[in-house]
Amino acid sequence: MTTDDCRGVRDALDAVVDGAPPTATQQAHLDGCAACRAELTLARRIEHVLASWPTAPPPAHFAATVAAAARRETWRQEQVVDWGFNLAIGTGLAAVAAGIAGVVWVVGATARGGGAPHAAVETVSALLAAARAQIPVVGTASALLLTTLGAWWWAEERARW
Amino acid sequence: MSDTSERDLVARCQRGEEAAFRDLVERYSPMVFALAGRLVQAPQRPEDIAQETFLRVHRGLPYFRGEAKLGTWIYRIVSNVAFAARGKEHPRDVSIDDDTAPVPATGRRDPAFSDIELRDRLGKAMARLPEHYRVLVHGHYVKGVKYEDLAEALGLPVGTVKTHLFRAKRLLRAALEGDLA
Repeated sequence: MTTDDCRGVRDALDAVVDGAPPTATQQAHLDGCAACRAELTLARRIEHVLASWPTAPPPAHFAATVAAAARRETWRQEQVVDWGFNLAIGTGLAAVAAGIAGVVWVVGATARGGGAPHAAVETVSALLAAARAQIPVVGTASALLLTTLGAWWWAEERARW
Repeated sequence: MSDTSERDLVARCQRGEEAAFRDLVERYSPMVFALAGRLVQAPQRPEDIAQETFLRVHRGLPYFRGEAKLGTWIYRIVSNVAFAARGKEHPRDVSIDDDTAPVPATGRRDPAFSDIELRDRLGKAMARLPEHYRVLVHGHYVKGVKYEDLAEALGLPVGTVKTHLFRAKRLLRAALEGDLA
């Protein structure tokens, strides 16, 4: 039967198992209570089994294997970044080329349609007007290129480690 | 490992020195294998858990700022990886705050059962403990892991760690005492 004394002793069992000596009262109870002695024995056996739980040591070359796996993982990540970088660069260059082509086409059309004595002035004015019209395109392309260059810088920094 | 040599090791890893990363793996793999070997059961292999742990460490090192000790951080990762691997098992947890919750006894009564048999029964009883308790109990017995490390890894006060360990051991004894009586 579990008494209050038993509960008090059982609360202290872990400390006893850890090496703290039982008090005189606890020891007297243990001497006279088979159930608490059995619980102490079980607590000590559990402690022993947990402390000596078998675990396999790391295999030889484990560190080299992990380092190689980490290297492969980094390489795969870099491939994805490189692919994205190349795609962004290509898109950006295409957008810039489209902007320039647009300017050239507008200026060319203006010059062909004009034929006026002040062709040079008109050409410059048309060039500026066309350039203003292309600002969104060129700005977007530039932003894309800057973002791509930023991603490239980040990837290089990451690849260094 | 001293704080200085740990910081130096992390800094070398962050500079991309593969030799430093291998050094880190060699230093911490005994602890990782010990914990993984305790936390997972077949068909999961401790080696797979350990490798995934170090790959996560590798991914996270560039962002490691040293707020926690390296060993504590790795301890947390291996615990997460091990429990993610066991995730589909859905062990029947008992309430973490209920130290009187019964854990069913396993097997027949045999006062003389061996340590191997006791370990087997203990393993089954452990599987029914809440994850939190399992990490604490197994971590407590891994060489070199202190109460403070467990507290930091689990984000608990040291006193709470000791209380939970006490409760976990009582639950384990309750599960096994029928076998010895």
